Amino acid sequence: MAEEYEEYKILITGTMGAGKTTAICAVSQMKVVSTDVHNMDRAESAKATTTVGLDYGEVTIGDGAVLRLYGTPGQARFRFMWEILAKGALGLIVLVDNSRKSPLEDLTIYLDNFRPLVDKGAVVVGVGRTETHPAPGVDDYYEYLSDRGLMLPVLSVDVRQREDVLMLFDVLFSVLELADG
Amino acid sequence: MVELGIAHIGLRPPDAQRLKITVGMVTVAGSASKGWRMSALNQADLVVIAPDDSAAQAALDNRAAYPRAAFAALVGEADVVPPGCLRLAWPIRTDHVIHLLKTVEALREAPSPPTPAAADSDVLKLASLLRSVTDERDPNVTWKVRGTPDHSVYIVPVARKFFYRPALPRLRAMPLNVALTFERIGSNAVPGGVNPRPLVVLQWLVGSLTGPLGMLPWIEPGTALRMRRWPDFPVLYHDPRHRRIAALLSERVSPVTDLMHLTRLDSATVTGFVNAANLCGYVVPVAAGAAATIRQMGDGSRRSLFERLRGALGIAEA
Repeated sequence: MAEEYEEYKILITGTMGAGKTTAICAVSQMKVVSTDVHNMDRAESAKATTTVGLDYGEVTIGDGAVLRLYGTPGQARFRFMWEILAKGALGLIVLVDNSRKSPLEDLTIYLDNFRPLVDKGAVVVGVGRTETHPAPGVDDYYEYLSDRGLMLPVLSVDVRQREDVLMLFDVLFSVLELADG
Repeated sequence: MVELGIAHIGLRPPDAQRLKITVGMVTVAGSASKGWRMSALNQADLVVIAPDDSAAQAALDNRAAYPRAAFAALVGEADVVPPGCLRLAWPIRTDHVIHLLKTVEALREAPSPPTPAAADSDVLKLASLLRSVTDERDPNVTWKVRGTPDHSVYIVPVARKFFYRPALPRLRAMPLNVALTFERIGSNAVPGGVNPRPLVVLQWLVGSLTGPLGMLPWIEPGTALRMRRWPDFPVLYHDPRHRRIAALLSERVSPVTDLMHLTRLDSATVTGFVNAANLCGYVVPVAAGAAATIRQMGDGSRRSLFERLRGALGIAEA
């Protein structure tokens, strides 16, 4: 008889270059599996490579249980994959790149496409590159979310700092503890 | 040992009997910090009610007549707890009773307005200043705070900045009986070579420090609190446990006693969060009666899962 293991899944999404791969690398206990290829979409992002499939990392919880971390492909043309990945996910971290032209519109795309998780309140937003691009400010994000009837945590983060990534996870865990099972 | 009283209204006889036996066992075993005994209603520190009982409802409506008593509702998993009541899960279990008694013991030591001695604390005066500067509109106003560790603090309200030369942990270590003076000076008196920092960092830090002193004087004890937005934790020197309090307040309007009960955190930590978040404008008191029905913070297995996840990721508790 096959052994049954507990498995939990958390998604990290966001635009190209928002730091999804970096965030997963910061916490994964295994070498992160990425499907990076040369970026042919330089209009969207100046990155040399980008993730076209997904990133995958793991954290062993103990007793055979495992937390699976999935980084979604950033481009909206891969949104068909988002729904597949979201199935059964505990929660979602949305990374927003504040240096992009319309970061609030970027955020909207992800909130709309991951609606079931948003409705459960199982979402945390991390805003990156606020040091060099302070506008829109975190207050603007709250106003924007409030206009949509949402009260989600928005944190300014630098995903190159492991502490900031852990803070995103901890805040996500804190809101998930309250969510209906 | 100090003895506290527990009364009940409207419980079915088997539940009343079970409660009595359990409280007796807990006291004999020393499982709670204080001794507990069954008492009359007017001498009770805790009143356990059946929420659907009319006498219990009447007592709840008239709870001002029992100022020292906390109320707890004996309810099933799916039942709603009346506003302002703690929860005791039915059927009565020893571990639930112990948790309830400890919660009530903690509430008795819960945040209150600063005592006259504490109200003289210069740290509270600094908190008051940090509250008032939020409304400052004169760009020429700068405040110099003398007496802070190693260096004075300069506050420039309109720019929403402050200046402090040493590392911030020095300020965090400031004793609550520190002697401070406050001087309004010209904006050109700020020393050069010191980097400005966001004012909200100082507001959070000072608010957190005041936790052991009780609620800030302008927050009524027992008032319900609403979170307007999440604190921007990455830029704030905060206790990681504050994230869980924020999660609770983001979901419901709650008085500080509910926050303590649901998070099982001590009074100083919860009050520190509330004071800090209020100074920063993240948390505001709301009108009486707005408190939402309290709900337990996830079931045990769910909490345990996230504790395990935190442990696996190496997220520190505090």
